Amino acid sequence: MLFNSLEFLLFLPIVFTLYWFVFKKLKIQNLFVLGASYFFYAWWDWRFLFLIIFSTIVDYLLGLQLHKEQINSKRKWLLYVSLLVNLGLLGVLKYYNFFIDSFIDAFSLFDIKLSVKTLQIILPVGISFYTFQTLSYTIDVYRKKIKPTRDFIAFAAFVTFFPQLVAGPIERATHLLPQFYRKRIFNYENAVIGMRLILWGFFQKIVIADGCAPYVNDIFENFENYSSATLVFGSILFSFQIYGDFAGYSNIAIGISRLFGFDLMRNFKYPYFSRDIAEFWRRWHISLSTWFRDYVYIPLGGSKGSSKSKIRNVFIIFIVSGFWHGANWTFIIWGALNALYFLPLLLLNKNRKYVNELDKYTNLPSLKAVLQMGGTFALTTFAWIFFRSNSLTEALGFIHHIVINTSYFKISSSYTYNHNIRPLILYLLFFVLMEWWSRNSEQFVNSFLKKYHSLRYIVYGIITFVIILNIQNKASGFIYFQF
Amino acid sequence: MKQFLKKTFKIGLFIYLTLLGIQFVVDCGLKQSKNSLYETWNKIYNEEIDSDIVFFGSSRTLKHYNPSVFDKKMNVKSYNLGNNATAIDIQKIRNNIYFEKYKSTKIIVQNVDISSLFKTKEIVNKEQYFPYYTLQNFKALNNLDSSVCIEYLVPMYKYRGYLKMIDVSLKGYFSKQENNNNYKGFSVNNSSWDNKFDKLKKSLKGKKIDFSHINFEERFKIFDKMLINLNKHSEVVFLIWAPEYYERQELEGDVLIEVKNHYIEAAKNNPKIFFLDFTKDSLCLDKKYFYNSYHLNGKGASIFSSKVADSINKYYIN
Repeated sequence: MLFNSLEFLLFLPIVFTLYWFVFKKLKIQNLFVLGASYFFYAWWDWRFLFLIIFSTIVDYLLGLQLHKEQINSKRKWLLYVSLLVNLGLLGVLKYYNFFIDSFIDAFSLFDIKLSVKTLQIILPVGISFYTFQTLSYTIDVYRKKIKPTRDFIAFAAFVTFFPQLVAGPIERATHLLPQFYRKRIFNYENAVIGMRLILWGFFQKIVIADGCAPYVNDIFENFENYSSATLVFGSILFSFQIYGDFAGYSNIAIGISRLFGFDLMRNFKYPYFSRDIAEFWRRWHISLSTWFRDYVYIPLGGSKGSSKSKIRNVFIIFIVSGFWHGANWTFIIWGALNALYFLPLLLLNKNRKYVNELDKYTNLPSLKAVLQMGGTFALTTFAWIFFRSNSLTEALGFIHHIVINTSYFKISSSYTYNHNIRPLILYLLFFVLMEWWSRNSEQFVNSFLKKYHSLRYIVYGIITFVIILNIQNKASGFIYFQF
Repeated sequence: MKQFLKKTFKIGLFIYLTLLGIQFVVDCGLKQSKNSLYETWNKIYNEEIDSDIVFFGSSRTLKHYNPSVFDKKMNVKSYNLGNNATAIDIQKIRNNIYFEKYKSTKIIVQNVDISSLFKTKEIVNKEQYFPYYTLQNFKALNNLDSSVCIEYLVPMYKYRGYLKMIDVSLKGYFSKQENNNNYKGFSVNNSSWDNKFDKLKKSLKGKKIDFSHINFEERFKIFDKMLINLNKHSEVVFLIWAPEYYERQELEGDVLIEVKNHYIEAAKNNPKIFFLDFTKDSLCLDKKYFYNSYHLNGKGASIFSSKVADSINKYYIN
């Protein structure tokens, strides 16, 4: 079920009403959340529910066993079983074909023709997200950071909690699981914040991401025919599309959770206002970056040790992160590029230069900050070309055409020719402005709404109006669902 | 919780009413618009058609029947009510609304062909209906497009993806003349022959056009019902098969004959219905009268209109 679909528009108020008015007891509420989450997932394809249930049962039992077991080597084996089951499923369903194809390609370089069958299966939606979420549980139990739960329903609800099931934020057991043990009390302030996040999330998805999508698709699919300026423009629009799409989903997920009395972690902190790439990665897809930091980077030694090990760790973390997104060389190169961007900052010890919030700028950023933000945006936009392209050849072709199709000022594609792009440009400007105003808060234009409380109806009205005008006939999926 | 629900309802109501207001303003502007999409609808609703002859049908009506020729040749008032890219299930929406306003018209010309019998899969130029989403229209349109139901209930939702219409609406308020070359509904196309037909021929690889997806029996029933209605609201109905380029007719094969026979039968049984066949007319032999195999250009339309006027004079007036 998509957040931006009619079905969900009916699903949410029904679940909300039953949750708060009918199923008031904690245990029953948890059971209801679990049922609603399974229903939400099964709407897409019920057969893949068995995978989630299997993964849930395995990690639940392993968690209990890990707690019981005192011998370290045995505990390690139990952890390996969890890793094998979870990553094994992910590996087979998501990466099997990639490895087979890569082997065939590699052998063909030596004139050896292999014929190995690839799998004809579709990738279960959200498998990378819930796999990482359950893994965080077993790893944390193994590390004795948390005690395993004996409440299977609470655990299953934690694994499948519908707002964040298919595209995150990837929650930690230490943060979300305890919330299933506590009685939830409806909180007005929280619910208002939730509604605002949902509204802004829909704006990000429907107006920004879906608005950019047709231009981006046209430009990336026909890049050979377009000028350099058009290709650069297409890449910039993709930067907005991917951000609007994913941050939009995250905001809606966090907002819905608030309505149900849950608190999910922030996933984005206005990443395009980052002044260097290190800051960007502290603001972009935070739940995944911190997951990799805590469960991969730090165990590898992190930024401690020799320069050699630092470089190795950075490359591992970024390439694995790229590979997490999809079984394609384009994602690996995207990760490697980000590692290259990040390394100089780490080696020069400047990777934590911008950890402060953006509140030091009272109104507009300084010229220096603007240039830094522009530079960081340009670097990420360049890397997004690999992320967006279907293959490495396409990505390199796209970049090659930016260089050779030397019309640097004329933007025109068949889509821009047939459609008026001015509204989209206006929306993008409005979007950037609103995000800048909101830069120090989780909610959009928080300070503005606090200052001009009476104007809030108008602000909500305008945003709803723009959303309605941009809704598409058929609800479009979220990009991150495929990961 | 109570406070939250109350506030949500209040804000929801505020937004709903505001959007309803905006929609009303946009709708009103379009109802005054001179834009080609709305002009004919507005004239029907404002009862400004007032003609002796009206022409119903699809783009093959819109592009073929030139009222200036009929007015001059027959000394009558005529109006072209053709609606682009419509099959009979959509055409009847316009017909019925017209009949609500004009109980009887002297002569009705209904253009007929094979494509009008297609089952409509999507409503083309859907925005033309927006200012007139009445319950009556809603039913017919909703059968073809389920999103019409939400468009009907959620204010401004129908204008999603049609931002341009807000601009058209504003122009309507200021009586700004739109870039509209239509004359009494007739939309001329003076382009020369395009290559679409050659592409079609190539893609068919010597085969005939496939019409197997059309359930003709079912479509004829709808047509016959529509014909009864046309008959009820006029003194006489002319079913006219406008020219098609001869090579296209060859590609339509036996289906063309079968469909034509149905119209001939319909006319045979009713003295108030005439069937005029222009598929054998000399116009069909020359590309210079067409801009594609299915549509006459301005020159072809003028000659064809003149011939139709003569025929009507011959069969009916005299």
